[in-house]
Amino acid sequence: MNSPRSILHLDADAFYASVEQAADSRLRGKPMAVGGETRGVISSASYEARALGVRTAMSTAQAKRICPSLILVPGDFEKYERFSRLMFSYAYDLTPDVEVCSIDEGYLDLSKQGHGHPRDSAIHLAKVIRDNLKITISQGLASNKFCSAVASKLKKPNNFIEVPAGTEREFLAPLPSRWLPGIGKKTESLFVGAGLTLISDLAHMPLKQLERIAGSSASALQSFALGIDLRPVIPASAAPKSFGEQETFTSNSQDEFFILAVLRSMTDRLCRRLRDEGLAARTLTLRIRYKDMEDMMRSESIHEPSPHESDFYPLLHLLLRKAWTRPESLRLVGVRLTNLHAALPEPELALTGLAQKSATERLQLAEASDLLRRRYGKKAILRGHDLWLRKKLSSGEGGGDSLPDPGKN
Amino acid sequence: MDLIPSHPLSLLLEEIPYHPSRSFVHQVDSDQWKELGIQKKDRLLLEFRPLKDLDLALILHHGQSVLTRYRHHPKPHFLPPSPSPSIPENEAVLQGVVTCLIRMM
Repeated sequence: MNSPRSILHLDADAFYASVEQAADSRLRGKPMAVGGETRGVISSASYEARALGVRTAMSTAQAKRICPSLILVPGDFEKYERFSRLMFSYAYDLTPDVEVCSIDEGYLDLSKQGHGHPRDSAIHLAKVIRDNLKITISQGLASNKFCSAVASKLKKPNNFIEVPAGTEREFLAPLPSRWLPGIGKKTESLFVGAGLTLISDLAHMPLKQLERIAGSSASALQSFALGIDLRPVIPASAAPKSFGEQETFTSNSQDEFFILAVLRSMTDRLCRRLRDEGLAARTLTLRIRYKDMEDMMRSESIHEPSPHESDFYPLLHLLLRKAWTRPESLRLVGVRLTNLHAALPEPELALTGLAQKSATERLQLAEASDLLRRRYGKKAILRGHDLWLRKKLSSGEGGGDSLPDPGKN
Repeated sequence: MDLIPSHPLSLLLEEIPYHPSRSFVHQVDSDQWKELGIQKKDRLLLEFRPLKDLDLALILHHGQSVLTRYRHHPKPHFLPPSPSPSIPENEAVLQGVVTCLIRMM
């Protein structure tokens, strides 16, 4: 029988706010928050502000009403990305098996580490991060990813919870069912209404009965409820997680309008993948390949991470002009989105400002479009450039082969 | 949205922390560190390693990047160019030990 795995989940506490407090000691110990500039909502609140009722995704106006002494700091995402890279670099000191899930969360597989107990490694990791970066993390150590993630989030900040192998089911049993993956605020009432208030309720329910409530995900949900999760830790390669696509044209193209339409179409698909995973990106890298095979890459960042393709459209034209400097036709173009952040959740409270309303409506519109495409196919909703590309390609004028397929590369 | 011009080495820099040297490049935007021999437009190669006495250290303090001399005694602290007072180690975050300078000619 295989010995149980040792999976550590690392979750930085109030990451953006903590980085600001680390970088400016005058902010330490005070109610402060990051956000308010573009969207008019709180991106991250310090624990001092949380104690006074300030929450992530709350409107800044509401936050100021609740906490008049709240110090608001604009987001500096480049700084957060740098702190994140340093934080994970300490994780890489322990093991190469590190899965970076977002800027402030990741899994480490410590099963094969040759030195000491994984518990000691976790304590050491928290200490070096606290000493060197002046931020705190919460960690969960368990035999699988799900239990370790729950353990790290159960009692923040600056905490460590170990779930000994064999006790996973007991550990999860008394927790509300909303801790299970796929049960969110919107679906929780459905489960509670069916008497599934606690994780133990899902663990005990006959599978056939659970299928009537949870559909095809019933089996997976019950496995999680029983503390079973066989998902491996998937180490990132040298570079952190990114989303990319590239397209080789059937015949080389010098048609800038066509190339931009292809790039926009790629960006649309990449942003849909971002939204599917609840992520937002900040940096776009454009790659071109000339007909003589010379490659060129250029990248730009936007100030705040975004899950919306329309925020990246202005970069495409700019980067294409920067990269495409020779009067030669192109045989390949590609787009990559990096510097990924967790997308902000929907605001909890009624929004008042125009900017906030706009941001929320944009997200709702994007999610509705994504849902329609999933339900009725990728052609259910097309943007102007998609229609233009379809016409051009069907008339045989296009420099490319066809509408690029989603999920390439 | 506003655009931020990317660092010319950004693609490379993104991968650097995953290598053991854990180094960064930082471009100096002003003459504020002339006293320490650093000029505007110089690029500092920063290594993230334990500090030794008299190391040149870039720190984050009060939200600003400050180049300092690290002194271990009598208590660990950072010395910025005069007339700024010394900064206790726990009030700052180390951004890197300056091990090499690249001067743009």
